[in-house]
Amino acid sequence: MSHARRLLPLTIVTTVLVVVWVVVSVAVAPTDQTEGIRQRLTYLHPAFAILTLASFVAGAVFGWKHLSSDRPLDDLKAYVAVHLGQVFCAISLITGAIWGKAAWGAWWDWGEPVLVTFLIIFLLYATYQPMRFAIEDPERQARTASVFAVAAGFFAPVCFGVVRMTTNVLHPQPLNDPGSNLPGSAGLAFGLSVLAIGALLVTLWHLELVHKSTRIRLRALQRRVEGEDAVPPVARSSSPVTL
Amino acid sequence: MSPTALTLLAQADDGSPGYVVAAVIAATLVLLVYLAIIAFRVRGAAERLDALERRTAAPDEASSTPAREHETA
Repeated sequence: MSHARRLLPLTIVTTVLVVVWVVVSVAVAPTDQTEGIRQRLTYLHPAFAILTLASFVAGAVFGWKHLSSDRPLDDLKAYVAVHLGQVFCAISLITGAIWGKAAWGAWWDWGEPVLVTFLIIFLLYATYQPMRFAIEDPERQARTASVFAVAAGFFAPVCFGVVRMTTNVLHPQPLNDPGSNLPGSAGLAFGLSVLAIGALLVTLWHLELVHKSTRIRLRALQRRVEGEDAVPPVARSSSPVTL
Repeated sequence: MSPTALTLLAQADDGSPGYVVAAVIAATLVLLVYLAIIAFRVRGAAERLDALERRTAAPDEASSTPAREHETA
């Protein structure tokens, strides 16, 4: 229930941050002389990519907590973090492809290690739900999913970080390349994008956690009132079943 | 002098505003679809809760009706 109580203040904070981020990105940050308005995608796409990895790491932390404490709520927290990471990863890939088409003239480049690594991470996490829901026993399902979340949550940022540091063909590195750091208000817009989308991630995580835990408790109540034969333990739409 | 790849890259263009708008719309759409799915599931849970309340209330009303009749008699 504490998660439900945090939803309203989180929503208010997120709304304020998103409004400030949009205003600074659109009206305050200067237009790049070479790239033009296209450069403003720096205030959208990288933040989603950074928070995708943060979400997967959060999934690993909750997965680890679940493996050590065996608390079903930790498994649910890991599940929601991984799920939101998948959504953010899809947004990163879509916005990145659009930026690539505008900047490079191609939606995708198989020779660019950063792009391919991010796609591999996306495909790796795409196996999370099929793997999880192939196991019927809820406790085994939760433990196996936690092992996956820990292993993949370690693999994703390390793999992406190493590729990012060692090989780079086309993908820009606005925060690393000497002479191409984001100056003044452009840096502020970038920082705000990470902050605002981070707040959005935390709020959506709380929303989905409250929603899923409510459904699980409702199903348990239904099974108690109507009988265990009348209500199946697993919903049509798959999701963790114990809490 | 033929332009090198670097001079081609350094040339300013219109900045492809259409693609920028497309990226913003795509990101917003994915998030809205996500929120819509959550909203539909919350509605489904609320309907199930209503049905459960009706079902649990029905036996209570049935058991309380004879008692009220007895009181009025």
